[in-house]
Amino acid sequence: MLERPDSGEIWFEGQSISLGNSLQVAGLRPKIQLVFQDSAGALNPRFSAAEIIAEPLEIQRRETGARLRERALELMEEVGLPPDWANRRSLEFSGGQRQRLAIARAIALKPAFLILDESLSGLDLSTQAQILNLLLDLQSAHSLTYLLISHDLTLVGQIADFVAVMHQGRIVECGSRQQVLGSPQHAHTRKLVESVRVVESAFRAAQGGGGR
Amino acid sequence: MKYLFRRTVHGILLLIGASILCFLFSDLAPGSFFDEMKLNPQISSSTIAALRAQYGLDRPLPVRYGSWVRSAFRGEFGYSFAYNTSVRSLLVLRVRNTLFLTSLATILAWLIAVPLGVWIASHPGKWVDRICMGATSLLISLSELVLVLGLIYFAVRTHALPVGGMASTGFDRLSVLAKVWDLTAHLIVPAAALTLASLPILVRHVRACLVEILGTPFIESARAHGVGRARLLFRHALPAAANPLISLFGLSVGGLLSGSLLVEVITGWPGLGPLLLESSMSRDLYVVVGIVMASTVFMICGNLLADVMLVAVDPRLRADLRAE
Repeated sequence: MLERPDSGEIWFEGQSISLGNSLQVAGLRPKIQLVFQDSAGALNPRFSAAEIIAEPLEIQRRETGARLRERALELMEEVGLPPDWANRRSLEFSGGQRQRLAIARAIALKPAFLILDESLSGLDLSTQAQILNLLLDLQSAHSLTYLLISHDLTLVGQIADFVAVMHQGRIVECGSRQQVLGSPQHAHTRKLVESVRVVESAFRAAQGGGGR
Repeated sequence: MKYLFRRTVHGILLLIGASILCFLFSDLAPGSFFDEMKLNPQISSSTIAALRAQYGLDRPLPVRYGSWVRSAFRGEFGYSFAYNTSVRSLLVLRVRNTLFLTSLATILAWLIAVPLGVWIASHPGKWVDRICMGATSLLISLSELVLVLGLIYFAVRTHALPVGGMASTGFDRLSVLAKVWDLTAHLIVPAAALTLASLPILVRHVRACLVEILGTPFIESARAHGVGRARLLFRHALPAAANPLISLFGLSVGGLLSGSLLVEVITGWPGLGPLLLESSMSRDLYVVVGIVMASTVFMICGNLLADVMLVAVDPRLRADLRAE
């Protein structure tokens, strides 16, 4: 755990997690994995792609020796990276490829739950759409649960079943996607939804006016 | 390979430049080996002039430099006026003694500094960190001189260790085991002084490099993925922090010949230190030049070693070299 909560509780699979209980936390680690926003910062620049992906398997002692590398190559293939690139360092990949690398590392242990902390926001729109498709494919293939943290409501609308809106550190509204995005109740949610509509209508107006 | 070749050529050019400078500066220094003889009324000025001519001191600087270079290629590196022998035969034994002392001290200092620095870097602000930082700043501010005098005082007071020199009288008659013990006992005071003098800077460097790396996002992210402390420190953080440490290691290898001069003089260790002092005082020109050049060679080799190690350790540098 990187931070200790000031208040509140964390529940996972019907169990309350007590952070003091390091044995329990260690047991949950393989089930909960993370993908961060800044893939360049989150991956060790000295490790090769295969080493990065294999590390969770290595520290959890799931695989050893030649099997370890083999499994890393399989995972690269699964997230859409050519296995020939296994010896490249993380900074030799593009932003989208790096995020695929981070996703491969996160699913290496076959977790049940993935925390995507603004994982799609550092990317340009077309890459974002590709990574989003990858995430949706992986979700159905491995029956994953995602916790996506994002400021981008369009993105939330595309992936989420259940939405919680936070304002100044508190959850102000939560419910199904249709409920929250369709008929927002809280003022902050309305503002967020409105901001997307403003952009969309401006875009349509520009299209309607016709390009020169 | 090409890179190594280029660096070696650089080193040789540097060596040539250093030797020219060394000759120039030693020529600018006042006095010569034979000046003292002028004070002696029994030696006539014509005798001194004849001696100067015999040793070639009356010839112009470029000529003297040329004959020194020729002598260096023969492996003699000039001639000592005071010892009446080639500089090389004079230096070999001294260099061996100095290297014996300084390599031991350097190895000890690094063996202590790396684990200690890594350990305190992983507890920043805790009591171990504070104690070590306090102790190292104390050691840094004490000069080598104070350290070695303190150790000598301790050795004299307790009679636990011999003070001065490298061997006891009658060393040759001792058994092998007793010889080893005698040498070790003589080694302790100078080696401890040198280790203590270089240790604090190394510890602080290791700590500073590691603390910086430990604050970077990829370490946080590795921690979030459940990487344990030992693996985090030695597999992730230490390699990432290695570059400045390797350069520092090159410097400490480069200083092997010149770093211990003062300590050697004070403890009477028969290495380069006392010889350099003595030959500078008596203007035994080629001995001084020989010692300075030997230190330069070590400095260049140390840096070359660091360059090679950097390429071996850092994949990014290898990629840059391939790209060239």
